[in-house]
Amino acid sequence: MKALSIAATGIRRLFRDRSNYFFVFILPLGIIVILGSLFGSGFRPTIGLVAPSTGLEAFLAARLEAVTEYDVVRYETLDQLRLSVERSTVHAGVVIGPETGERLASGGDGEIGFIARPDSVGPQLQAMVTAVVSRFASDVVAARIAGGDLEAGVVAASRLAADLPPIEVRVTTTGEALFPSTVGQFDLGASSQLILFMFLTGLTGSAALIQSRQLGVSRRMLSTPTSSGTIVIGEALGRFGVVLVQGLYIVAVTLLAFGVNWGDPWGAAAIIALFGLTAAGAAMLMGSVFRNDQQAGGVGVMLGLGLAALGGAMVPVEVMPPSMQQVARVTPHAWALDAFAVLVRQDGSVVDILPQLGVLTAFAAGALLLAAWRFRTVLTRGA
Amino acid sequence: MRAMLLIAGKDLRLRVRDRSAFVVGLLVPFVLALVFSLILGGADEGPIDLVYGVVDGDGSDVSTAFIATLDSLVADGVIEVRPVSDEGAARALLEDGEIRAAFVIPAGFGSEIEAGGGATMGVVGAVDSPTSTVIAEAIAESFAAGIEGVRLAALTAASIGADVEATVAEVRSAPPVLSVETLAAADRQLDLTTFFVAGMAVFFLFFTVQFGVTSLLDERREGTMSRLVAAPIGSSSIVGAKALVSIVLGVVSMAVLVVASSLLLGADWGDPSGVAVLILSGVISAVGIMAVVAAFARTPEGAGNLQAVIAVGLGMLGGVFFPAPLGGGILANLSYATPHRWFMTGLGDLAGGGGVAVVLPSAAALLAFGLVTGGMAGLRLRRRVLA
Repeated sequence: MKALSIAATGIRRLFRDRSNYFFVFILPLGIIVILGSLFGSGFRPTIGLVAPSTGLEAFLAARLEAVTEYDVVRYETLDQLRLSVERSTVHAGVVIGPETGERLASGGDGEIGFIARPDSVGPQLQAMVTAVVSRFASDVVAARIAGGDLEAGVVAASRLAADLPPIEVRVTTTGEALFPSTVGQFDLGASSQLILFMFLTGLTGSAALIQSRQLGVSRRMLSTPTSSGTIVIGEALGRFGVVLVQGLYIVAVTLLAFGVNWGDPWGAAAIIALFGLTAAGAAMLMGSVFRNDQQAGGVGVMLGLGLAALGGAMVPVEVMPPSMQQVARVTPHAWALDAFAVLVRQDGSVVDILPQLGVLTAFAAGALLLAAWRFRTVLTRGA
Repeated sequence: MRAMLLIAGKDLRLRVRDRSAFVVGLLVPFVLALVFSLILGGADEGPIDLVYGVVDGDGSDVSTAFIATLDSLVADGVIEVRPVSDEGAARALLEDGEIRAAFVIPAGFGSEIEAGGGATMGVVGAVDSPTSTVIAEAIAESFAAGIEGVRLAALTAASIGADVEATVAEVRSAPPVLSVETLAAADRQLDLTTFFVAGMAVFFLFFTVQFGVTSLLDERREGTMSRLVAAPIGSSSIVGAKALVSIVLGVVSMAVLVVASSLLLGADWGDPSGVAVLILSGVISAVGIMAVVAAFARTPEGAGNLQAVIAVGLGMLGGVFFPAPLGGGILANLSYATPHRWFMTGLGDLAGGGGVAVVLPSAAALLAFGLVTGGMAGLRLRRRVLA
């Protein structure tokens, strides 16, 4: 009972500080939204386009804009476009020179400029642009054969081409997708951020434990008829409560607002509970090892972000170099994320994630026991 | 002036003893940058080998023409091609990672085209190499577009009563009327390691400089402020000393990070004088923004909490955690409202070559942030010191 009121005080103290509303509630959602728009299925490459607004050039520009696989942003000059490409504001640039139409009309040939940085989407975009340009060139050739005004001829040719029986290219893929298209835009980001933030919030909360000792709250608690064991359990419950509140909040909001699929509810609940206990244990350990709350805060951020990165909460474990994939196995994050992957991607149930839950239980028990022993020592030492 | 240096010297000694500034300013950003570059170590490699399988189940003139198209790409060194017996074998090779994608020309493909009908050919890609698959698709699409173009020319020739065969022969032999030429682009982008080191450095810079300006509030609470004011020291000297502490902490931590990451992580920051200009203007912007928060906060805790919110919020918007193009949307425009984005843009421009001149626009933006916020903070803090 006393342990519960110590825990409640811990949670109340956290939320008395308004900035924690930002870190616990607003920041994780902000990051999930940003990641969803950057890397989720909502991701679309952007092409910058410099083209005259009239004549044959405008026809070609309109056809480039009609492609649905990328977005088009117009630029006034080649220099502006080049700078945007070089800075990765757009993924590639296309330049249709103002003399192109005239050269085609007089029977010559034209060049379409393409700029991209040598990164992953550049070649894809060039291939798409080339396909549009070569179909347009076919229309120009047909219009020349028909004779007369070239612009009118291109319009007529494109109508004619639409009626021809198509020669199609059917694309199929094989293998298991790392980012399957059935996974929603926010699904992957949501479970990673859940894991990242639960641990991060736990660790940065360890500063509160140090402040309790600095302010003498812990000493006063000990002077009442309260055993050190009760205080340890109470503080641990408080850390666990904060982490759990945040975890449930992230799950609830992403489920309601973005329709994120969390898989089997019992399985998800088990992962969150066990991972939360691990985070609470780690927070207690930090709170007993450090004496300076500012240092603990800094190291908390470092461990919170660093372990999350190592454990695959920032980039999937699958894309890491093999040696780092081994390292990932040492973090509780990797096991929790693996369990979520089974629940969400393979529609698994609690039974399917028992191995992961077993490892998480070991992490939680280890962290909590070690923390309880250390925490009790520093409590009674009176530091 | 002497008083200002004395106060600043005292504060710096305090910071060195406390060690928190080392943790936040050096240890944390360095370790995080190291971790990020370790886990992404494999992602920064050069262009991929495009090895494609081709299944010719047709054996017609059309399929032979397609293979000839592939062979010309092989001769240009763009792709490599391996003949495969059937689609099942191609899928097996894909699963083993032997090929990146396969072209499958089904039996009857050529005869259907010769008869003037529609036809379908296949591209089978490995799900985890989407780029190779899209390039394969584009090669096949271009080939299909060529056939469709010839058909369109034939149809047009027939409609005006011209000689169809002569027109087709002419179109086939003519060079393309429109070609796509690649224009050169400098690479104003940091490599991944440098990106993460620089991103973490500027992110934690905003926490490091807090130690200076926020100590004004500590002095007030601990009662040492009234003693400083009672001494023959101008209020601007006291405020100036705190700002100086922040600037020194910021510049030293950034400089150490630049040197350490260059030596230990192989980071490539670019021209030293350009980097120096960016760091100095970046530190001034950070000090200004953190000072304005301190100036309007009541307690050191209140200031620290709000500063943390602002530092994290600006860092997130400024894109220091995501080495990805932000596109042209709202997020990209919003990011220019953060010093972080200007700092990273300046370093990116520097990576494209050049010296101090190329970073001047970014440095000017950073200075503008710093001078506007720093000016506001200075006015307010001087009054608060005396209050």
